[in-house]
Amino acid sequence: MYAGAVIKYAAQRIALSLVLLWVVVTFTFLLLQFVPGDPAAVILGGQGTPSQIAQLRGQLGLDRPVIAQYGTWLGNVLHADLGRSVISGQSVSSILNQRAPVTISLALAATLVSVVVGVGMGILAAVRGGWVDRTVRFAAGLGAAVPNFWLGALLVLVFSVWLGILPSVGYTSLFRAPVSWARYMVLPIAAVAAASVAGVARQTRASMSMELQSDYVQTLRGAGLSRRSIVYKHALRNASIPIVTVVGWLFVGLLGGAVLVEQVFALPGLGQATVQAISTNDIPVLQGLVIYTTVIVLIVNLVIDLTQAWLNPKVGHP
Amino acid sequence: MTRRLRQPATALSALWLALLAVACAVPSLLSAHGPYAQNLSHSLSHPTLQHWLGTDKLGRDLLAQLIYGTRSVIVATLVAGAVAIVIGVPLGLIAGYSSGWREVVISRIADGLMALPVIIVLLAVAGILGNNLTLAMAVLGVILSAGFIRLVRTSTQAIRSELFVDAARAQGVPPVRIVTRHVLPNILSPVIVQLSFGLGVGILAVAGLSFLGLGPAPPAPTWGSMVFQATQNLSVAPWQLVPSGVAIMLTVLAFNFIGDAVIDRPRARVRRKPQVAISPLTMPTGHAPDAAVADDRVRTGLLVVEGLTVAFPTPTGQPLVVLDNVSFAVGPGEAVALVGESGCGKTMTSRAVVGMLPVGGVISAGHIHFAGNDVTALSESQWSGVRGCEIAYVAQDPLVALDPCFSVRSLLVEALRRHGTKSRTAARVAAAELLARVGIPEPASVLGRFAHQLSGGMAQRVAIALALTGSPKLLIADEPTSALDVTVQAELLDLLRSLQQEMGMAVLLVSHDFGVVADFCSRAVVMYAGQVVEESPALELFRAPAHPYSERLLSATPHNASRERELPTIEGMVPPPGLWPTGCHFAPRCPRAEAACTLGPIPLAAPTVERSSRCIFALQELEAQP
Repeated sequence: MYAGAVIKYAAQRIALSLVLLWVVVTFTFLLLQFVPGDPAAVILGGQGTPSQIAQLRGQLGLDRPVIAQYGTWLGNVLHADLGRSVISGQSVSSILNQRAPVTISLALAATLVSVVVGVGMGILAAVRGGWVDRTVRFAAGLGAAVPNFWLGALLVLVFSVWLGILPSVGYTSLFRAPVSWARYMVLPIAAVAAASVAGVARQTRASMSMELQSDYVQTLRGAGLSRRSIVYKHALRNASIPIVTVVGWLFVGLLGGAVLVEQVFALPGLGQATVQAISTNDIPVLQGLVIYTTVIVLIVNLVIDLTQAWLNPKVGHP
Repeated sequence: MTRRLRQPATALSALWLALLAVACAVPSLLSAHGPYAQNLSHSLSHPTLQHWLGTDKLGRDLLAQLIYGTRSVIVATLVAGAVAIVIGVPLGLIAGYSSGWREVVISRIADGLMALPVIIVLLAVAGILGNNLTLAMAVLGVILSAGFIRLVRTSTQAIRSELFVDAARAQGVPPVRIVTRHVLPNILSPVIVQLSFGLGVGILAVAGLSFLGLGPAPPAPTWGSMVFQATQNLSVAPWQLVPSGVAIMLTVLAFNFIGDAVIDRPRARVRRKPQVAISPLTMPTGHAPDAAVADDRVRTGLLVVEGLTVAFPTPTGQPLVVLDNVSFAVGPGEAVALVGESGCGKTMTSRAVVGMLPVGGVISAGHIHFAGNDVTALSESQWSGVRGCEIAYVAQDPLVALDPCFSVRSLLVEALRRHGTKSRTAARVAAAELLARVGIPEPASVLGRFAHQLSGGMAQRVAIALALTGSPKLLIADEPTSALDVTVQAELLDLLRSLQQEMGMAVLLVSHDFGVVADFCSRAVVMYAGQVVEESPALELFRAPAHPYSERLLSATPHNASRERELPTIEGMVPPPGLWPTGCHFAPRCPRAEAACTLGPIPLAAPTVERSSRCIFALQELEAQP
């Protein structure tokens, strides 16, 4: 691989990510400007006295000109300062840093499950055809239609309430107690992953059937390579390029799914922080949340892009 | 979903969506109960005659809540869909039609939108802007517009390059008119498909938001809040989970089914070749060839094909025969040509011979012998022991014939190791030698390249090298030079000739070009509409073709046409499988056809030992010749 080509590609991607991040930071700033009425009054939930409102306006910098507010906002975000919660007074980034591991571990585990199960199902459907294919497509159709929070509740009902083999609520850190983490997370992961398993399976099936009918497969068969090598080495390697793209998109959905499903399992993640912030009108936390998750998504997308560069020789070998 | 299920599924989906439409417009028409009517004595009830879907904790009818909750979820979803279309379609049209910097900017916007964490942005918008579901859905619409931008851009680009659009532009038709007249009608169905999937996403998003308590404030019923209520009473009344969840799922499925139905419609019209999984075919075993003659040929020939008949299953149950009683042989070290127009069955024959029929294709009669062994019924795993080391196959278009993800080195090394080269180091040395053998000037540098870094001629040489890794006794080359420049063609034919002569390897060359055949084949097998119509030594064939089709084909070859006269062509087209005449397949295009030609199947007659012809005139004529 030519290092130069890859570095150039990565630099392009990073530049694009930074532009997108700037757009999102600006968008979250503008959101505050469009709050109906006075944001400080809204935050205080209509309970605030005029002096409390004035004090909060000062604290949020709302009494300064918009352009100055924007400058401060950009500068603070650049220094990873997302402001302070108006409820607890804690810094937003420390609140989110505390909550993020739950959500990220849930989303990453669900991504892993979707890739393993989805690719497996997709290959099976493409290679076997017939009823296997029909079953996989039926399951994928169902998986894409089932609301993840509802599936979460159903899993709790079956595995916690009826069978009593898995806990319905609770959490321990992945690094402190991995086994117990797994027991708490199996159901949430399954609920979050259902839709993306379906997505990966669909994409894998489509890509693999296309690759298996392509001319180079005939060449490799004609040269006498084994079916196993043709399917699992050559066709899968080619099919992996679009599959990885889809996994990147699905991760975005998984993160959102994690936020919803956390609510079902009472997991102390970003979802819970979001719901709390909404119910207490904690606008700085909500703003910070959007920026924070965008950064996570952009980092994951960057990893995906570099994986693409590694998988696709046309990027590394121009 | 299965094709059989699909039709009823589409109908049921439409019915379900119609019901939802009624529920949106006049909920009282469908519901016997009001959504707020409480009946505490019927709290958390199962379905009963009075309450078809049971009741919630306050004894409110769940069916009524579902029906009265329909409007908010559907309206919010439609808002998202409408915004997505209003933004996505025009931007996609501009990007696809204008190209240049506009395309770049718009595509980047679409990429950026796709990278946004949807649910979190929606939650923040709804949370910060005061629980405003419509606004949140408008934002969802903006995010969903990315899908429309990409789709419309791609479809517009495809249509823009069509000839009729070029023509309209050349005539000075303004872009707006071209777009509305030519482009919009063509992108309508993909846009509908995308919309149906987008609405599915929208339903799930609205339900998710109302599950978290955003959207219409209680006690207004929403599907999402019904799921939330159910989770609160999960252990006491699990039934509560069913109505809302099933309603959400059915609605998403209904949108997706409608989308699938729109996708399937045009595809059904285009589909020509049957692509059905292999099923056992029961067909009469046809035309047993003369046993004594066959035995003799099997003994002396390297590849002997006898009465090969290939068919594909069709939805009607009547198998579609694509090869009819094909017989020919290739001797050890011999170069034989398989000639005919496109659609005559040459490629099908060559693929049948290496056990690589397209999906669904079945050998329904006849035999293929290779080096004395019957290979007709080998399984795929048995075939992979024969291919490469006994028979190798080189496909038509070199630019797509090499796996784009692997370097030339790793492709060759893998094939060499498969065919017995022990160490990786030895395989690397052998790979370089093979490349030199197929006439590649700088093997060391080419080894490190990928398919997209090779020219067509170079790629075809690599493909041939790949086929040679197992030192096959027979190389089947399917139009190996058709996709290449004339000079490169000649070089590659030289290469094939030298391989044949120096390595003693037999070659079966598939071609529609008699010039190529004349160059190095000693014998030619002429195919027409799924049948062999003539088999002759090449020189004899050129001197005196024994079938009118060969004759016409020869005179249509540029090499034979004199400069003054117009290039003769054969009138009409090769009839596709299923539309073959009962008599001589060529009779409708044959200038010499008589009533006798169309009476019944014409057998392949062998007027002399070396020649055979499927023409009733052949016998007389060959005898009449000096």
